[in-house]
Amino acid sequence: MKRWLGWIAIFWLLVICAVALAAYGRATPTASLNDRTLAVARELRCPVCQGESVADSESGISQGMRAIIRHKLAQGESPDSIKRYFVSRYGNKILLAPPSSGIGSVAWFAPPLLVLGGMGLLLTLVFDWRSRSRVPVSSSGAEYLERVRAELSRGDGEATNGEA
Amino acid sequence: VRRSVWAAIIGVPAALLIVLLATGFKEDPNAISSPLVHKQASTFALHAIDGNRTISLAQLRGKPVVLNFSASWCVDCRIDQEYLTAAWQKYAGTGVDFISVLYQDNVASMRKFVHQYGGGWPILRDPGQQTAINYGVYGVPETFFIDRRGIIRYKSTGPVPWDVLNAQVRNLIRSRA
Repeated sequence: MKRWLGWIAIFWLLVICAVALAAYGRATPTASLNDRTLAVARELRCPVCQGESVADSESGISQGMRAIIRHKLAQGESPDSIKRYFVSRYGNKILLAPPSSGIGSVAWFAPPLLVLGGMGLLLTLVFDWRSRSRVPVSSSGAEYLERVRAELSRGDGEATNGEA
Repeated sequence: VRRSVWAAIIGVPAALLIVLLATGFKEDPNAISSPLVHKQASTFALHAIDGNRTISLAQLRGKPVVLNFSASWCVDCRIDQEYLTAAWQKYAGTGVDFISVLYQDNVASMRKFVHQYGGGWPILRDPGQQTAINYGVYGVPETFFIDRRGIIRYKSTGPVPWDVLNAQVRNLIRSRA
């Protein structure tokens, strides 16, 4: 029963994580134009700053980029299409997160693969250790067991004699 | 067999990691590459700081264009401006058009800058840096060499070295319409 409760807890934890990630990744359609502008700007690197996003930077170029994002969103362009526009001007370096295609995809796929690989390795080791502990008692062990039993039976005999 | 399995488990991901990291050595971390080179230059129509005129890239089609983004507050732009002035004088009469676009600067400062470091070709205003963003400008000075067909042939980040400037302008002159 306890085991099942553990699995149910893990399942719900995964569901909550998935929902939270989905909510974080997308601005809701009802969000204001300003919010949607900032959501796109947060994914772009300010070209003249050190590690700052277009949303956070107050540089002139970032303000210009935010104006372009706002204008394009108002015209009905999708956030992906706007990001593609900036990539076409500046290259992939303009994206704060690596792209999910080409060499950049390694950054997305490597961590979960490494975690899975590590878990697989750990499980293999655990099963290996457990199977080793189940090795049948060796002949020398069996002899030793015989001796212990013999000693015990003798001891029983002595105790019985004493009582008598 | 066991030892070879362990070698594969550790060796294969390690080899992949080394290959992945080695690909990074192919790139110069200081180089700012542009996806715009060998592509059609973005059109623009901007007001010049002097005179009541608008200059568009479309009206320059068929002529080589040296398009420079510059600002008076930028130290490297002083060196760049002197080289560009020398090239502008050298290639006068060859049909090459030199154009500068103001980058986050005011007109009065730019006029003073031109008076001090040279110039004479049109300087254009760029409200909201829309043209700079369209050209993927990271900082100034940046110079684009656009051929007669409107294709960006080369982009220079920082002051254009004199030999590069000459070579690129000569390439533009040789380009076919």
